[in-house]
Amino acid sequence: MRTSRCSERLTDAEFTRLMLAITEWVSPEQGCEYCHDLTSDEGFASDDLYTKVVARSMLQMVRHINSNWPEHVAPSGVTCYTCHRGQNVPPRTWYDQDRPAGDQFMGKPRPWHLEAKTIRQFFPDVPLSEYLLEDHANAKIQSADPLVSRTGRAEVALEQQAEDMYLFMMHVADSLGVNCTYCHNSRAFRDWSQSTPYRWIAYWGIRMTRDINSNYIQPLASVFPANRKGPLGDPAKANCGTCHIGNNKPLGGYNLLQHYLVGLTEDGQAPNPGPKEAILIGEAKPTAVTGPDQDAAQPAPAPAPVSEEAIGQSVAPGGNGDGVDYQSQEEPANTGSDVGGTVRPVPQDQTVNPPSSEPTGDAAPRGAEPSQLDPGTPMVPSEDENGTDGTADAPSAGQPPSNPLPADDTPGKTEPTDVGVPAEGATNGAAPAAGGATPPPANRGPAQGTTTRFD
Amino acid sequence: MGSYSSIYNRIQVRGPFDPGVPMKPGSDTRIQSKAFSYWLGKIGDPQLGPLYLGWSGAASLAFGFIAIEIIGLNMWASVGWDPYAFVRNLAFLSLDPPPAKYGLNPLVPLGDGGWWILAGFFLTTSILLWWVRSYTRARALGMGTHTSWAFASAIFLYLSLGLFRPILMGSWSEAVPFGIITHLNWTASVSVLYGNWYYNPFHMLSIVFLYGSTMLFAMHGATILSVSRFGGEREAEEIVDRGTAAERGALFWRWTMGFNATFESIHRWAWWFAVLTTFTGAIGVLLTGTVVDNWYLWGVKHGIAPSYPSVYPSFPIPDEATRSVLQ
Repeated sequence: MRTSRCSERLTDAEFTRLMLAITEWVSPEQGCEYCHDLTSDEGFASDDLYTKVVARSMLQMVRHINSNWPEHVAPSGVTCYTCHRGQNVPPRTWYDQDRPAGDQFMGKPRPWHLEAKTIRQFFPDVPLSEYLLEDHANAKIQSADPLVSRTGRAEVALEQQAEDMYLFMMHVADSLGVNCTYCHNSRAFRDWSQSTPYRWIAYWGIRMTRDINSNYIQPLASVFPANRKGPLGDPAKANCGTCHIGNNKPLGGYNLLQHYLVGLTEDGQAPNPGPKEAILIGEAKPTAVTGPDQDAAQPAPAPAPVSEEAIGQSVAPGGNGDGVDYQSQEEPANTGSDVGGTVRPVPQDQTVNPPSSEPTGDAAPRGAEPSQLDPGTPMVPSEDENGTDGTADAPSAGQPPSNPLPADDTPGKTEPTDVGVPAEGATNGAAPAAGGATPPPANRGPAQGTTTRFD
Repeated sequence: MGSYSSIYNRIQVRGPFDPGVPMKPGSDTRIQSKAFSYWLGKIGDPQLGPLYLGWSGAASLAFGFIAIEIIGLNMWASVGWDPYAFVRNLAFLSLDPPPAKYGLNPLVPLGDGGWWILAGFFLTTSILLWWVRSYTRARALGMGTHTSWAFASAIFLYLSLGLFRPILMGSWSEAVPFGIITHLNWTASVSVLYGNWYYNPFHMLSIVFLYGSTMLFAMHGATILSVSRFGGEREAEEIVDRGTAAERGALFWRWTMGFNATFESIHRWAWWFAVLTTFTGAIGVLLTGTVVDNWYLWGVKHGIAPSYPSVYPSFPIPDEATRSVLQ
């Protein structure tokens, strides 16, 4: 009986559909033959390729996750695609790392991820092997007592253990694209009563990952070929980022599983959302009761009294010509032919601000030609052969030939017709067609959101 | 002297070489390197030298060189003597103290932390010798020894982290590693490990004095520059012979905040703030793990950390998660 257990309850159609989906999820380029050795006599049933053995174990793992870890994966569940994303090997995995040995200088340094783009990606993978296997280190590093024990027994972990814990937490945060305070109250990291419900969901996630790594992936060490294993001969294992890939909900919470419930769950049922809802929505009232409800004692909020006259004088939105039209402006105002960002300088009399006299004595700057920085001094334009003029004498009015103005009837310049009153739409829409020489009625007020002077 | 009124200096005083006050009998000779530097003059006195090395300075430099060599060569060895990897990873390389299994044993295998002990010994000796140098040179010039005691406060913090607290805790592994990123990681880890250092009242005091130092520095520097047009740069004279610069500066601060330090006391303010930054920090270090195991809970116990109403629904917590540490 080589037939996969998955197929026992699947119809032929459902089985074929699942196999096609797995091909797309895991080996879209190699196709069926990535796992199935079709040259053998057994055909599809052949287990000659290691990928077939791995895939069977992974199918069992997915079914196990969806049916037994609803605290973490409900309601969307997981599929092969959650981790694989169309690749033979999921993009985010980890291997055991050599710990520094004490037999040479200071051993090897931690393998930092030197190509990291953020400080969190930079942290090493060493702590993953301490916390993401069934045989894991104690994560409770802080003391529950303010003072040291009278018996002299250590209640605080060693600093080196704390640093590994710290790095592991940084990995979790980076994998989920969140910060410490998504789960913790940073003033007391260990205190569950001050933590958010998400810490509870992450707690299950860490245990689920230990289950996956120790019971489904590590046993495949004898199946994988050497080129799929790490430096210490272990298969590529899962961490928080394997599914999450920077998202607090993998794939944004998209429920891909619901189309494959029969094949990818043990009982054909979607993951039970009950446990997670009990955590997130909360069946109980908040624990901290600090006395009578202060909000109930307050008078109900009511709008401040406003006189009828004040209402009459205020601007009525959508008035028919006798009030200022009130509409949000999301595009530059259409005020004429040169509204493409061009600003005409206001001509200024050269004698209004004469250049100041040269500073003398103590005030004179040393080592500089004072006349160079004086306003009003004629600048020498740089008439290079290749035409690379400096910016100082670039034309300040008009449009550079390299960046011509768009034509007036481009869509970006027309006033959007749906932002204000529908009655105004016809007027605004017609204005550019009329040449735009006169401002349309909608812009009788000052141009909103700009201090640029148009004239 | 209106030239001092701007926030940058346009003046460079350049006179004949000043050899300094006469030496006391029995002193080593000064190294009379006569040179002037235009660029040094941009930030200070353009005159280079004379230098004074002396036995303490020479020994300090030698010990310091050995310490840096031990640290650097260990880091280089840890990347397999690859010069490119050494430069590229320099910020992340580390020379760690011995693991906890050795306790306070000074005879640790070199590769397992012995190099850390040696580097710490040479670096500490170098720093202490430099302190001796700062003391004897101040005495040789007839000065007070205020600088030396301020330096001693910083040394006290350094020794508390690397020597006193490890001894109190009974293990070298409690000390700080030599390394740029790794000593920062040590700081973050220890803060979390001992229940959040921000609830350590001596850490609070240290922060107050540190930030206060920068504020006093800015206030004092700004005051002196702004009254220099009235002769305020002659601070020392105006301590005992108050002139219009001192009075205008004082009135400015009385107008703006109701109180003013004097031209004399502002320097005591600044000296004490700087000294207390490291001194209070060192006390906070020495109490951590020796007296207090969890500073947050200590803050709760003493009313520093208030409790807030829970904003989240209550949810069941597994027994395993709430059992206290290492029990």
